[in-house]
Amino acid sequence: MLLFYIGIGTATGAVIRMLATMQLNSAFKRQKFPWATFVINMTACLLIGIFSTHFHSAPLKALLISGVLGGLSTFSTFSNEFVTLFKDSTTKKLAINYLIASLIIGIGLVSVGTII
Amino acid sequence: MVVLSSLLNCNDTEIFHTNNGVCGIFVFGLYFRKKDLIVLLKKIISVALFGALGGIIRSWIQSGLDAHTGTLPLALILINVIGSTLLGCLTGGFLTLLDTPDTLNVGLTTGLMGGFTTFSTFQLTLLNLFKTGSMVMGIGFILVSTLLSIGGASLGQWSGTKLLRYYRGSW
Repeated sequence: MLLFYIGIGTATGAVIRMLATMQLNSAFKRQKFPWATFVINMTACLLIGIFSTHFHSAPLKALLISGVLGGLSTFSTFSNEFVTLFKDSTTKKLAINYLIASLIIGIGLVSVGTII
Repeated sequence: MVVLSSLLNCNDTEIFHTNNGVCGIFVFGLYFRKKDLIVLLKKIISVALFGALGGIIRSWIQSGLDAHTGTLPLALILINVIGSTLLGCLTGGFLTLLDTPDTLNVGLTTGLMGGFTTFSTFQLTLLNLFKTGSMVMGIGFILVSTLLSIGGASLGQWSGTKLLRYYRGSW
């Protein structure tokens, strides 16, 4: 039964990410920095902090944390964007900034989420 | 039903705007023409189905491995590394080689791989490791996860390009 909740949640999260990516990509058209993935992952980090402190029932955790936030945030796109930026000598610095910003701001937002 | 019927008839209703004779709709602030909207709906269905599958496989691996690995988040490392490698291979050239339709491609990349891997649980696990005082383990986790995922992604992209070149000659 928990797998069902995870499936529904992940489907919802992944669809939200696709629509948000389209939206953010059109807003940051001229930028080389992968704002779409960055903004989405950071939002998911803040929300996982909030959800993990307030929700304790197994179905709700499966639906919202493993499901929606697992589907919303992505590690695979993050690492592939880093590699693509890093390969290009003009965006090498941007790639490093993206990596460090994602890791540090991400964990910062999770801890902010657990407090509020 | 109202949306569907006005989509088919393409009336200038409150929902559908006619812009220089082109009928379309604003979805989340983006303008879609009628045929683009149908493509978008197909993509949403594809991403939802593959996303659900990705999430289920992720939690299946986690529940299978976490019982044996104790506090070491081995399952999460494995999931993110495998997902990064496969996405690299898919976008690096494998999807071009397969020549699959866009709706399937977005399902496999954004849906399956995006739903399979997770950044938020990774950061939450990291914070919990730091909070419980396992500083060394936390730093090890962050280094192993990031370095192996980046290595996997670049290996994936390289192999995707190689596969495409091998089967398609000079692409």
